[in-house]
Amino acid sequence: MAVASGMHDIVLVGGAEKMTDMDDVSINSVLDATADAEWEAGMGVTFAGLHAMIAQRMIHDGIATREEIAAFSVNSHFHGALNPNAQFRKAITLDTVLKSGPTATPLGMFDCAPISDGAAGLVLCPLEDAKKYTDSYVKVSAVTQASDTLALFQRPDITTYGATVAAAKQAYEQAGITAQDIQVAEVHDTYTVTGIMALQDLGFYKRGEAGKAVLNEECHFDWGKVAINTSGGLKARGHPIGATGVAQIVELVEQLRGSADKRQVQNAKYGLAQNTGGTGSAVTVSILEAM
Amino acid sequence: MSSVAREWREVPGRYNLKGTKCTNCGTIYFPRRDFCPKCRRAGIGKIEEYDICRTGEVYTFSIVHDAPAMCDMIKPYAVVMVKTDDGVMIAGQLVDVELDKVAIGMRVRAVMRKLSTDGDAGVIRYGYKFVPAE
Repeated sequence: MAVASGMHDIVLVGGAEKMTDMDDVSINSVLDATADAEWEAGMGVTFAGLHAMIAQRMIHDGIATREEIAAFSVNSHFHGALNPNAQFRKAITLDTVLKSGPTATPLGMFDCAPISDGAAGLVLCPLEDAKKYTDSYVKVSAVTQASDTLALFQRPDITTYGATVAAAKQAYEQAGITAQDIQVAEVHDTYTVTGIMALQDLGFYKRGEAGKAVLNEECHFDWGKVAINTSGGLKARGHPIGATGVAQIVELVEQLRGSADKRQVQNAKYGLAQNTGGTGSAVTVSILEAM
Repeated sequence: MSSVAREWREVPGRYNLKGTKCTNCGTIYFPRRDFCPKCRRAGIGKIEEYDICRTGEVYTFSIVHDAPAMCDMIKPYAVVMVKTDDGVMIAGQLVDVELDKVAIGMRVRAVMRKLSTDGDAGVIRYGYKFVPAE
C-alpha cells in the first residue's frame, strides 16, 4: 500500500523469527495467546486443541476423513524434499502421520507445523519501475485482508474460515480472475486440517472434495491442477511465524519466474498465498501474476 | 495473564455462565456483550442479563496431550465445545470422565472448578468445566 499510494518508491519487506530461543512449553503458551486468551486458552483449550476440534467435527460431518486430513502433511513433505531451503527435506508416508504421537486428538505431531528459525525478504516497487532493476519481476495483482471473531466458538460454522472466504472473494475481484485461474498456491497449514479448509474456502475445491484430492496426490506440482504448498508449506518448509507470510510470497515469486527448479509448476501464470492468524480470526490473501 | 480488575469483571461469566440477551433479535451472547452487533443501534437499551443453560451436549472434542504449563499436571485431558440446551456454544474442559468415552453428542453439565494458579503467589482462577450429565 505504501508503494501503491506513492508514499514510498521502494520498500524492503522482511520477516524473521527465532523460535528455538524458547522451550516448547513456553512456545505453546505464545501460540495459545493467538486464540481468545480468556475464554479459550484460559480454559486450558490449547491452539492445537482448537484445530483438533475443527478436525473432529469435519470428520463427524463427513467433510474429510482422518486419512484425507493427514495426507496434507504428506503433500507438504513431498514438496519439502524438493526445496533446498525447506526445514524438513524428506518425503514421508501417510502411516508416519497417522502413527505420530498425539498432540491433541485426532491430530498428531506430523499434523502440526514445527518450531522453526527463519527469515525471508522481498523488494516492492511500482510495476513500471521494476524493469529498471531486474528482468525477472512479478506483478502484485491483489492483497486483501479480512477478520472474524477471535474465539472459534463464536462463529456460526467452525469447519470453514469466513475470513478466508471473504478475503479470497475480494482478491479474485481485485485481480479480475477466479479460483480456476490459479496454478500455484501457498496456504497456511499450521495444522493439516487448516490446509484442507483453505483449499475449500479459497474455492479450489467444493466442500468435502479437498481431502480426496490431497489423498489422491492431485496437489503435487506436476499433477496439472492447482499445485499446493510447493515450498513444503508451513509443515515442511517450516513455520518461523514472523517470516512465514513473506516466505509464502517468495515461493510464489520463484514459481512465477520459473526458477523453482525441481518443483517448478509448468506455465504458472497466477499464484495465490493465504496467511492466517489465530484460528482464522485474521486472514490475508495475495495474488501474484507472472510478467 | 491476569489483572485483578479483569478477573473481577469476568467472574460472573466464568463462575455462573452469566451472559446477555438482545431482546430485539433474541440472540444470546456468551461471553456477555453489552451491544448487539446484529441490531446495532436498534439493540441499544434492549440488552438484558441472561443465565446460560448449564446443560448441553458435546459438539466437538479433543484429548490434549501437549499441554501448556497451566495444565501440565493434568494431561492428557479432554477439551470440548458444548452446545448448551439454549443453543449457545462454549469452549472448556470435560472432567471426571474416562477419556476414551468422550464422544460428540454426549450429555454434559457445567460445574465450577479450579482453572489455574497465576504462579506460586498469584490469584487462583476458578471457572466452569463440564462433567458428564448422566
